[in-house]
Amino acid sequence: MKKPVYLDYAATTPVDPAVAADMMNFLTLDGVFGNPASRTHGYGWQAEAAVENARRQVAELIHADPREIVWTSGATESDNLAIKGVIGQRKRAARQKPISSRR
Amino acid sequence: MIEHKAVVDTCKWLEQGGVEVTWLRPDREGRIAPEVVAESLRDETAMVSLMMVNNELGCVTDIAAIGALLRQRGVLFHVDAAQAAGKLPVDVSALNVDLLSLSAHKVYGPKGVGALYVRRSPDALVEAQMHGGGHERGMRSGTLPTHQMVGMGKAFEMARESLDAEPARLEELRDMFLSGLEGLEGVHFNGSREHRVPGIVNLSFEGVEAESLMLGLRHLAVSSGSACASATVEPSFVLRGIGVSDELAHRALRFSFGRFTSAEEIEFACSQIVDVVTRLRAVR
Repeated sequence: MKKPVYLDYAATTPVDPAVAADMMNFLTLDGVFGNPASRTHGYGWQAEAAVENARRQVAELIHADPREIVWTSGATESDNLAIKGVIGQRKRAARQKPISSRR
Repeated sequence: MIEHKAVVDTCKWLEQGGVEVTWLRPDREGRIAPEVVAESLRDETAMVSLMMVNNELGCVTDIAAIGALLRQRGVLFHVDAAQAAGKLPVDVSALNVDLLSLSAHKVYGPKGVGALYVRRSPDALVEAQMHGGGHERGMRSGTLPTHQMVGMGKAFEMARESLDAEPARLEELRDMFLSGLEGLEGVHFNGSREHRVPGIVNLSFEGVEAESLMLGLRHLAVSSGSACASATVEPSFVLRGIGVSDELAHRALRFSFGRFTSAEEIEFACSQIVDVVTRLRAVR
């Protein structure tokens, strides 16, 4: 038994070894290290395919369409994007309301 | 008010900029009642943001009922599901959710990656907060860290595959934990006994400060609340929010279990807690 015994899974969880093993394949020269936004070569295409596969895996857990998933740095950023993003959009739309002119 | 700091602080920041925010009161179990949401809606309410599972108490709010009424009223619904995804079934369509926050590191994935579900609808439009390249359909620019995405994807796939078996195993550990502490008097349960995830247990121990108890429990890694608010020595605003007295809020500890927790560890934890609480009460 490893001590201290970890009873704080709500704060964070250890990465599952199978997850860590998969991640290792996307870092070094031997792996898929390309920029997923690179459109001009296979390094980029392979990385993009991996990102899109992951997007599908995330979508499936919550029964969403993969096109509805936006990557962020974590739930704090997601909360910020959702709340500031909606309020900002609404403010912008209100400012852009057409002003009618009488002729 | 029992939301996570990520939502509370964001809303307070918006308030400073002139946005009106209505703060909702949870019930004594830490859940937000659909009626409370319905009564609090104003004509100009643009969105409602709630967490599905509270990170300190483990209680589960009835997102489906609230989602149905908000969709009917034409109000956008954002849900923080960081503590829910992979722990209980989440179906964004059935729940009538428009935006849903997700985290990888609460579900055996890496830290530093998460996602926002944005429903494909002309009503659910999100203004970018990060600009520079137009990645993620313009909503969030920045080079994608492929290994992080792969890690989150794999973790979520594994979570989906174990969504039947893992909660049942955690229920057993939870039962074992609570019955292991039955011999101890003056233990108060915080949260909901019925509507909750199995992996989080929040308890207050009469006559023992949480800080002293944690020092005594040096063989256990536990928390006196949320690590996300650990810069403060105030008692948990979540516990205060559900009407727990300051005294008992100062005596609360959160125990949370997961995939790699063993029955042996739970037995050890119980014996440690019983010993240390008994010892601390004796020297009082």
